[in-house]
Amino acid sequence: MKLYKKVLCLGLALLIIAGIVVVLFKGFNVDLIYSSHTEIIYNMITDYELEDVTKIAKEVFKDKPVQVYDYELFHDGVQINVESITDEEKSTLVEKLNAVYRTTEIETAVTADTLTVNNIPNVRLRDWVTPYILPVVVLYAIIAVYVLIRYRKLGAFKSLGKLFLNVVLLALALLSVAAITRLPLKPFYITVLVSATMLLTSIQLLKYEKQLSERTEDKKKK
Amino acid sequence: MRKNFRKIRTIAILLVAVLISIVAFVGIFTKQANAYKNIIPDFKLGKDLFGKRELIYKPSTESESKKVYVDSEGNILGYVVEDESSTSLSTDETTSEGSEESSEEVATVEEVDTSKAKINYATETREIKDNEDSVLTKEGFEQTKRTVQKRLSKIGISEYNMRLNDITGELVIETSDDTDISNLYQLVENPGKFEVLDSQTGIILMDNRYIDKVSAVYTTTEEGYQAYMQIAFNKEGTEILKNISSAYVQHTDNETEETTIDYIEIKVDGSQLIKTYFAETIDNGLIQISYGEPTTETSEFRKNYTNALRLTTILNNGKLDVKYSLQSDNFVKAYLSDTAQKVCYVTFAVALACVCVYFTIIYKGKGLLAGISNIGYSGAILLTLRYTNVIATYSSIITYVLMIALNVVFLNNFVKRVIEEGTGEKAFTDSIKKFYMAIIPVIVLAVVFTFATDVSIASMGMCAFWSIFAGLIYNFLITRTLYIGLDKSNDDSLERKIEENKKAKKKQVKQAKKAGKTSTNKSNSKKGANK
Repeated sequence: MKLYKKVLCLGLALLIIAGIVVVLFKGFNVDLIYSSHTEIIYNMITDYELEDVTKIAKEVFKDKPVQVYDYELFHDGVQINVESITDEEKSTLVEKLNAVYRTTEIETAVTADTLTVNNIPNVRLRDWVTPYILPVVVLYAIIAVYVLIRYRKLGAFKSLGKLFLNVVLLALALLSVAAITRLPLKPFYITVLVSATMLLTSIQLLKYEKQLSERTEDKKKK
Repeated sequence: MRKNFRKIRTIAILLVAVLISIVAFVGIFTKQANAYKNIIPDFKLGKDLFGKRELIYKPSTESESKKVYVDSEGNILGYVVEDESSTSLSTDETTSEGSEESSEEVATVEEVDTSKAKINYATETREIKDNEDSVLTKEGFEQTKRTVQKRLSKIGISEYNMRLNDITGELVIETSDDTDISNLYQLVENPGKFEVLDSQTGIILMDNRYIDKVSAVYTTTEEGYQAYMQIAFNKEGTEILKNISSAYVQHTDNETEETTIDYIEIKVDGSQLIKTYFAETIDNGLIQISYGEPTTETSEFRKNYTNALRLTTILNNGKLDVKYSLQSDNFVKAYLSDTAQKVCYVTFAVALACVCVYFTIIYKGKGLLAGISNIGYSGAILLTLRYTNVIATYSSIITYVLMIALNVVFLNNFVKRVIEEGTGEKAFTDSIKKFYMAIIPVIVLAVVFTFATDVSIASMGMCAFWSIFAGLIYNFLITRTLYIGLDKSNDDSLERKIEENKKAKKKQVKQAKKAGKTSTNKSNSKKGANK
């Protein structure tokens, strides 16, 4: 085996092992919206800019990740999503928002007690993956049949085994990178994973096609 | 002349490619009622890009005090009918004269030949909770979540996230705004408790245990279409139904000639579906319950049929362990800040420009044509996706970028061949064959994923499918035509041939003339000699 291939295999093995260790001890880092978090609803009675509300929220929650969304279709309020909230943070948030968006006596102030706070549970990773299982299994079953028939002259099972091994290694490598770098996962990352494996499969089939045509040409020459 | 024609054709095709991309990225605006409106249909945005409905459910804590019949083990056998005109069975409690008189008019327990008929009934007033403590467990919540997921999947609602707090039982469902929300409410909130009751006494004759399958059917009658819910009972249920259908009938007293009817009620979650009696004995284990009136109006029939379908979905997938009540239902708009949007657009434009520059540097003029063709291709896909109503999700955006990347690979290979082989048409045929052989996995993905129930996966498949289809047509019409006859050596050889032919003809004419002169001279010299 060439030196660079040995180095590549070693690097890949180390990456995957490191990824497995991280997943076992810390798990994946899931985006705030999809993990267990606290949702705060603040109703607005005046015009507002979402960026301004986000600034206020970030001032209150400091290092905690915060995501702010428009609430209801007609700009009726904001939904502030944060990992967790303490009573002190609740009071500070209400104070700051009231100071900007409820300035006159007529506008009813929201208090920490009347603020709507919901604890939102997490979306399970298996719920993201489950819808993909059947389509991906069917997809690779069809590709397997194609490889077994088309590349039987190159060694059907050897070609198929190599293809599946490469696909699995790529998937594991990408997941390991995500785990190690603590990339905040979102459901569409599975699409990225599937697309990457598809590209690899196409490249592998191109290589097989080239080998097959070279073999055919050699036979013709003989 | 040919060169000029080729130039004009190339410019025209490039303009078409640029026009396609402008129409796709900007649109065509026309004035409609004092405002400019884009006539190109807009993208249909999925939940992740437009916004979601967030429904928060909590386990119901309501309870109701009811007078019930119980057996010796304390199991509820029925609900005491509170109506004055109704009757109740004689029980352990003391009964008044009035009830004794009325009880004579009703079929007594012994006359109803059901398996439950022979046991004694006691009554008690019981606090019936929506959720007993025994079901408010992790297993109960998990089972309920699984059943709700099955119901949503069967009815075709696939774009949702479901979150469960397995300690408090709180259930949060996020779905797209165009989901039929009223349908969703009922699928989550209705536990699906099926009961066949003796209308006179309130005794439960059959429940969910005896159902085999429920289906929504319809028939055509003279008055129009009639929707039904057809309930098929299992073996045990069929036997009980046979007994019920022979007992709950119209009785005529031979002496007094008075008719009395023993009714049954079919209820789901406490709501009466039908109150009826049987005209004949049913021994096939099937009953049909009509929904609405027969109608010729499509919308009315569709409403009735949808209601029947919803109830069949609820009953077919099992009863929910936990009853939920809706705490809040809100719309949360998806948010991509203006800055983030601008970054995305600029990155995309820069990427396309970089591809153009790369091709121009490597392949010069031919490369520039490929770069512009690629920009047109990206626009062609967008137009196709808009007109085919593909739902835009993050998955479809990633697939779109992937398909453009694959097209760049194809163009790179194609232009290389054009330069090496020197012929546009042959290079295109070879390149397109090799390309489609290479992307067989992507083609299979496009077909398989299009039929997935999950909206993200289906949008990925549809985007890939239409990109491949549009790409084939676009590259055949635009890219190929750009390069046909573009090779100078071909045209030069043609012109050279024409020139050579002309020269050859001139030479022939000269030679002929020379030959003619020579023969004239020879004949003249012969004549002279002869003289």
